[in-house]
Amino acid sequence: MNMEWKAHAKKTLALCFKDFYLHRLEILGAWAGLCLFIGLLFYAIPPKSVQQQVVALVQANLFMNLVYSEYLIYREKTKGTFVWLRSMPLGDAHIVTAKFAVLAACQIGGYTLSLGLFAPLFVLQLPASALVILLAMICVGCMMLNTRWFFNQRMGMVIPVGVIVLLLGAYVKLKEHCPWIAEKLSEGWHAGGLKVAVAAVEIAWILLMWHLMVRLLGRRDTPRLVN
Amino acid sequence: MKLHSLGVRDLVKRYEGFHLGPLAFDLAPGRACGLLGPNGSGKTTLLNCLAGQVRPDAGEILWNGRDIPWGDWRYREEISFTLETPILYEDLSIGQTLRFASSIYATWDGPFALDWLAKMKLDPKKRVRALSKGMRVKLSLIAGLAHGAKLLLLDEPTAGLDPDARADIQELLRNLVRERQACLMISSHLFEDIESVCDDLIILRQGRITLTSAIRTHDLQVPASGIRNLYFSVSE
Repeated sequence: MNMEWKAHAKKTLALCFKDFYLHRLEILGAWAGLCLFIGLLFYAIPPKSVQQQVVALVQANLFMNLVYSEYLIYREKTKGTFVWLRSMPLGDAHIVTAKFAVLAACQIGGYTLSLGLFAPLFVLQLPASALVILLAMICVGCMMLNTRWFFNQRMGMVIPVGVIVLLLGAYVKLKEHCPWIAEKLSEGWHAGGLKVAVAAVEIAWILLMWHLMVRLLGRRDTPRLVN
Repeated sequence: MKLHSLGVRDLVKRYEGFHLGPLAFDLAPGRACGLLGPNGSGKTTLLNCLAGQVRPDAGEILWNGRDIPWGDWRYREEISFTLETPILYEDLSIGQTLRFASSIYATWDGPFALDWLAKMKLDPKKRVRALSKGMRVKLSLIAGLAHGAKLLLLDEPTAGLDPDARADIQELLRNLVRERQACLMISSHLFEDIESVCDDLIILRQGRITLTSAIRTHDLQVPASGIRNLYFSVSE
């Protein structure tokens, strides 16, 4: 690794460490809240199958993206600290990479903790599925980082949720009107081929979100990026 | 010692209802330039353009004769930008804030930072949220200067500060400009600040330069009352 890459890595790590340090209590609190919520939910409405259990866990972890993006983007926007970051020798790519990395780490932590506590068998028996689902949640999180930076508070939350609802709605409609396609998809999923394809699409999506965010940040004056 | 200079050529920034420029001026190494002008005259917009916070619509910013394109973050290695009310991370302590800054700048001078922390009587363990405005300005200046900045951009740094804090900051700036042969541009509403720190003066009105003048030569210094007279003579 040459000196320039070392310098990039040092700056990005410093930004990650700063975010972890600033939000360490909130992140730990959010994870504790997540586990408490899931525990109470499963106590009140015991899941009838592993599938139900996983669906509930995924939904709760998806919701956590709102919390992480609140810490990582919304506070930086409202407090105006982005002005200080942009007065330093930091490229927008450093800032975005660090935000994505911290969000991914938060998701990995919360997801692993909740799955490990409430559905350990799912991870042990279907690790590839668990990984693809984790990537999907990071995808949504990255999209949320983008929308929360470039839209107002309400739209920043509504747009990613809308995208998820649209995708789920499309799948439900597909199952209704073209059950053979849904069946093929299900077969492909269990065979493993579709998992690889979905994981590839998810990684491409994360890279696209990263690229978009760097491009959009680069086009905007700093005062327009803070409230 | 390499000498650094700033040049601005036909700089324009347009907002709805406000038009800055076209502006052109030069700032020689080891010179401090004061920016005077009423609220809304474009002082902050000009400093934002120079600091790379705002993208100019036209014109060039030359640093050592090289055009600085928008988004060139490496250029910020050589500049320091301090706002009237510095925005720092409230939950970090002074020491942590400086440690964070030290990991971002390639040329961080730790002893300089520690030396000025002691001179400014700032406790490294104190949280940023507990600092007064004057202390925040001092911290922001130290964080922005300890990497050896050669272009110092300050937007009303002494506004609302007590006389002691103002004197400390004026002393720091005077020393830095002389020792580093740095370029300094400071906007202020206080004629005494300009008198104390600056060698040159630019007066802005409605986005245009209405006066550029040297106010300090070898042993001649225009006093604050003279700067005041200059300012009001241009506005009349």
